[in-house]
Amino acid sequence: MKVYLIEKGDVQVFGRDGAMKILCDGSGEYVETRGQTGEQTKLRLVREHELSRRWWVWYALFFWVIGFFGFLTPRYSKFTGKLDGALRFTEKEGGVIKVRFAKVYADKGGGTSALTVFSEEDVAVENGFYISDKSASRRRTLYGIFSWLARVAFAALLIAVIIK
Amino acid sequence: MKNGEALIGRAQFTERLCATVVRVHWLLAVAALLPLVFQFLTGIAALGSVLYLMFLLLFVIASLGALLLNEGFRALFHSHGLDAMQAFTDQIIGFYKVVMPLLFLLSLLLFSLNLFVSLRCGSGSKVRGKIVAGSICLGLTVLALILFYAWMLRGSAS
Repeated sequence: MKVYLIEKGDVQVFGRDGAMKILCDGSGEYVETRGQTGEQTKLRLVREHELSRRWWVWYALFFWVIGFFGFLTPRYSKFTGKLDGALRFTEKEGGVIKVRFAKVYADKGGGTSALTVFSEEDVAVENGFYISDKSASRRRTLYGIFSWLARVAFAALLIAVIIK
Repeated sequence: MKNGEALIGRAQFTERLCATVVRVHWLLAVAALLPLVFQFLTGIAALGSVLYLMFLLLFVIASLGALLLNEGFRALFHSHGLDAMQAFTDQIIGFYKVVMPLLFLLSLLLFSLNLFVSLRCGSGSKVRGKIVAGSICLGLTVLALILFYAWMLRGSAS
């Protein structure tokens, strides 16, 4: 079965055998589940911000250096949502499921699903919410501040060396 | 979940690495094209200088040569801007004689790295875009290299 992932961003999909390869055709990106008809399949959808991890300082520093003071490395996403959801469905030959991802955080009551499913089959969505990661957001701000401070410091140093 | 986290981390790392490498590659391609741009600008400046002299000559003809009696007007015919620009271009070319092979090697290295990481770890629609961008950058660098040396050979032959 083909499961199209519309606007998935950096969400990773895990099947029975681990991470699934994202394929691409004219309709967009998809994953192909290769189960038998009638078999129950579970796909895990996981997303975490790049700066959520333990070694985020070294990660950011590495890309800041190789990206020429961070100018040539892509900006870190403002959206810090953490997703650990799943889709459950029954395999059907030639069946197609489309899942649209929306970058919205879950509200306090646990509402506002990030996943919208378009399918003729029955698809159960489990835990399809983005939980805001406050620490990643704070780290992103810190990175921005220190990145600019370091750039200014380097520029000042360079000017001082040239003047001398 | 631990295994999943590691896989997500690796995917994000490789994606960012490829994106950064492509951007650095673009910078190198632009840097490789610089001596040609300077040479082109010198050509444009020479053309501008000819137009400027023609404009002055038109004034001389219109005044039946009377303007040539004025020393200030005669001074307008002496322009050193073009010589200064040519000297600057020569300096840049001298620098690029050394740097151009290094730029090419670096470009080749970045292309290989991008290709290797994209094909081995990348998935989805972004992979193709990155490989195309890397190929364009390498193509531009090779073009700049060929044009630079062809132009140098022509210069030394004449």
